[in-house]
Amino acid sequence: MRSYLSLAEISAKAHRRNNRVTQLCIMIAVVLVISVFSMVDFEYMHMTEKLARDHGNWHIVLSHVPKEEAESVWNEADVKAACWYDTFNYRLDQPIYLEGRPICMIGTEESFFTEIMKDTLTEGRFPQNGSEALLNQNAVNVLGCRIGDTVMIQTPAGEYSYTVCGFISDTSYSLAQDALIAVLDYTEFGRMVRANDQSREMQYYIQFKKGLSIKKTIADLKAAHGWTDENVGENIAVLGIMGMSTNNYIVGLYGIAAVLVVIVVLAGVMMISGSLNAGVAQRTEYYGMLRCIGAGKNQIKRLVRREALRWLLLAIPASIAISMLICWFICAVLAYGIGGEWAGMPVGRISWIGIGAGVLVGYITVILAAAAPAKRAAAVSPITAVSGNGDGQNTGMVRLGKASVPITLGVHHVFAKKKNLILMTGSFALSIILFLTFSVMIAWIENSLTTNKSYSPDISLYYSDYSARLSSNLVDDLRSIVGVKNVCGRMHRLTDVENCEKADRIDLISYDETQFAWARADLLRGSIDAAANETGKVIIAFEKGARFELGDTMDVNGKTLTVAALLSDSPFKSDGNPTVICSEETFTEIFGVGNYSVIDLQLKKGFGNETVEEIRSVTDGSMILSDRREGKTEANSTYLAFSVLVYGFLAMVAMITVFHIINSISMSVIARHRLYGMMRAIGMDSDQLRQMITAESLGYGISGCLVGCAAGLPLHAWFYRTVISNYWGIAWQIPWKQLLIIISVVLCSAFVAARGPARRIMSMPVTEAVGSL
Amino acid sequence: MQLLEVNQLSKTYGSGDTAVHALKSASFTLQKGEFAAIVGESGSGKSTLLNLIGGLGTPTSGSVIIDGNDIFSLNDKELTVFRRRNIGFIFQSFHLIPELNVEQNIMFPVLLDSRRPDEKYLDELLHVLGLEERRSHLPSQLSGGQQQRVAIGRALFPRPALILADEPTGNLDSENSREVIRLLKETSQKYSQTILMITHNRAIAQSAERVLRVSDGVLTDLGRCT
Repeated sequence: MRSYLSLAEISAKAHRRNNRVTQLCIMIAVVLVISVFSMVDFEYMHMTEKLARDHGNWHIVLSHVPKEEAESVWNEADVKAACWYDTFNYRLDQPIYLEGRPICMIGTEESFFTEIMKDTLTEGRFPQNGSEALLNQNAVNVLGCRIGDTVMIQTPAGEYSYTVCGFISDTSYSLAQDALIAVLDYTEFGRMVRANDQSREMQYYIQFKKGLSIKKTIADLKAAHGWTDENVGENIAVLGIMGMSTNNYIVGLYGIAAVLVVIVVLAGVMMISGSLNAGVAQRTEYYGMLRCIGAGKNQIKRLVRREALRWLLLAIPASIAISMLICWFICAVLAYGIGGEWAGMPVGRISWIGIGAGVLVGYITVILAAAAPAKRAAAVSPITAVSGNGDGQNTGMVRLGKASVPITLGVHHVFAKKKNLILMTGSFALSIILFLTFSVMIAWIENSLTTNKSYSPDISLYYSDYSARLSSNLVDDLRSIVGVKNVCGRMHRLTDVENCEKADRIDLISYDETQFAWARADLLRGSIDAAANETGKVIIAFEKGARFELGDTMDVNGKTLTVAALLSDSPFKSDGNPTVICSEETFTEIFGVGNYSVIDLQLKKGFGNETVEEIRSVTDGSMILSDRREGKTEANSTYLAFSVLVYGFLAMVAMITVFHIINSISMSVIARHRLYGMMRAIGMDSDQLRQMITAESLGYGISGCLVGCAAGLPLHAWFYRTVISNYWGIAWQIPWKQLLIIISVVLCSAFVAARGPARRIMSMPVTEAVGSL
Repeated sequence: MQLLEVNQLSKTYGSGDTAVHALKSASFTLQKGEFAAIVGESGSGKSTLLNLIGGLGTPTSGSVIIDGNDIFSLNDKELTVFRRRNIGFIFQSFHLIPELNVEQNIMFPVLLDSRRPDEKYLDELLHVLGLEERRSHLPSQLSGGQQQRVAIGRALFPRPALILADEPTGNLDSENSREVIRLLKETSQKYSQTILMITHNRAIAQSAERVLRVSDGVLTDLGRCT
């Protein structure tokens, strides 16, 4: 023993069992922080690779820059790879066709596929001369092309013949557009574009070497060549994740991590402080005695802090191991269970950032948590040691009436010490507030990730000009295909309205019965049946700053339409004109057109590409078959991952609540163990003791619930209105389900929490319970 | 040489009708090396007097001067350091640190003062207290008499000028009581320390060099017994 601080170590060893709870609290806090930061770190690794894959592994792109000037970048900066890239008929709106279907032409160099868009070339090789071309996978599906086939591309300047030398993969965009793509050698591409009198964009994609300050390099290049933002485009996604640009996603991710860490620190401080406080309360005389034999206030503070830090030191190795296992499990669930865009989540890697953050935050948490108990311990007067009245604080007089004595005493203990009551109530209420506030995110997920809605189509059929040429016969043909679950046709017309103050033009869309049934899920007010069954009745989808109300009328083509229902959401993106939905009868009565503009299809589970081919076989060649399945899968995996995050976090809040309550009650009992021992000595039996502790525990639980609801509900309402009502028009309601869950969790925990400590007190010899120090 | 001077020391708890005058204008002095006992009924104000002299509480009026220092003119920090270096406490219920062994308990106040414990003095003290064989034992492994001897050791080890003992034999049988008092007297003489001790035991009080009686808060100096 070299210093008085060694007492902390000796004391911790002697009270190992009593300190387990505190150690567990610290461990939970550290595990949570390491997990949160590690997951962000893993997501960063995953996103870096994913973004480079999806957006291309390039950093800047030069546009409208002369060839020699652009290529001079090789001499001026550390360039790892660069290549020319250009497109022709990207929007598929020019008369460039392959077997009658519009085709997008791309001209580039081989390094585009080896360095910039790796893994895109799925079969074959890059064109070695001007007579070869790569096609996208969709060309195989639509035209049945094979490597070695000769394809003829028609352009206004004449026909071009190419031998297919390989295939590139489709993106969700090319699938949704049902696009054909041909990739040519850059020189050959230039020849075709020139012959067609098209201007060229001349894009030069550049990937810098690692470790370069890209921000500075871009600024230097701009300054040296006089390039503007128009000349130099940045790959915001890739640079953003590298911290070289401003990207909302990663900033948002760090924001979420920061909020979670603040919550974890708060919860951690709350739990650890509670444990330490109870330990101090229990050892008032001990600290008083130390003061008597000459310990200064600062020395006592240092001792308490030292004890806490020692527990942190002991908790760290286990915390690291546990949190890594948790992260690997979550990554494995994301990568193999959910898949989709999460398929690349790293499993089995170690996040040093996570561990560092955990240790640092753990240290800060413990220091913060130890501050109040240390102050409390230091404030113990030395006289408490000599007076022998360590826990004999004046708690007011208890009134014993007709009610059960143990319950009266338990309730008395709740209100005896105002400060304690405020702390306990506050900490229980904090859990309720956290739970209620965060539960709003469930509604957000349900509403924001629209592709998960029941009406989301797998396949859409339309003509490129959206003309109303899809007949009801086609709908019948499609319905007869095995594997097709739903077929819904929609008529559409952007039309002027009269006698309506709220809009001049509307998007009028027809629904069939199935679509009306789907709309019920989004009904805010009014009657869907009225719109479905009565001509002249329509539905309007809610928009922020809603203009329409039930009963509003408008005249379209001489026919009066009345708003019969309002929806919170619709499948259509509005471009400023309100979306008005009517029945097919109403639509044909106004415009007399019986054909559809769009047909949406949903496939049955287990039916895939073969069914899509069958659908394609009943369409004519000029019809667009937009395959949205991949985009839907991506959105589904995002939905699932967000659900895991939100529900996981809610479970975490509930878990912290349970643990905190059990811990607080246990500590409260420990702090009063001498009193309970004395009560046992004068004849209180185990049932009475349990009743007394349960009454106290439930007392804290009830007061926590009352304050938690009083503060949490207005906060829930405000958050709901900001995040949900504003965007989807859904009015706030008391969240009975969430309230019931969290109140049950609190009260059940409070009830259960009393049992363990009561048993411990009963198993302790009376002499030990009343004994000093 | 005068070590302790208590002047018009009063302590009143509460105010108005409920005021309790625990100590009323107590005054006395003690010489260096003197061994004095305080006697009196329960609730007479003995412990209040002892606590005030030890700087554990603040008086309503009056002063306590130890070795020329008016302890109530010191701030909290100075008082703590003064107490650590100049006053040793011995309690009726020992108040040892349960997780420290005998020698660690004894040297703890010196460690608090960031000083290196004098190993030779520790051995000597353990020998005088008859605890040599028990130096590595925890308090729970000792008898009541042994625990009180450890407490005496702890009070003596920083070589304080004044030792305040609140019924040090209250929890001991007569044989252990006699032994503890013998040790206290012996060590105080050996190390020239002044002892002020509360006791209910008439025989022990008679063994002191001087006896002070407190009754209803009023202190009477009964003078030397021997």
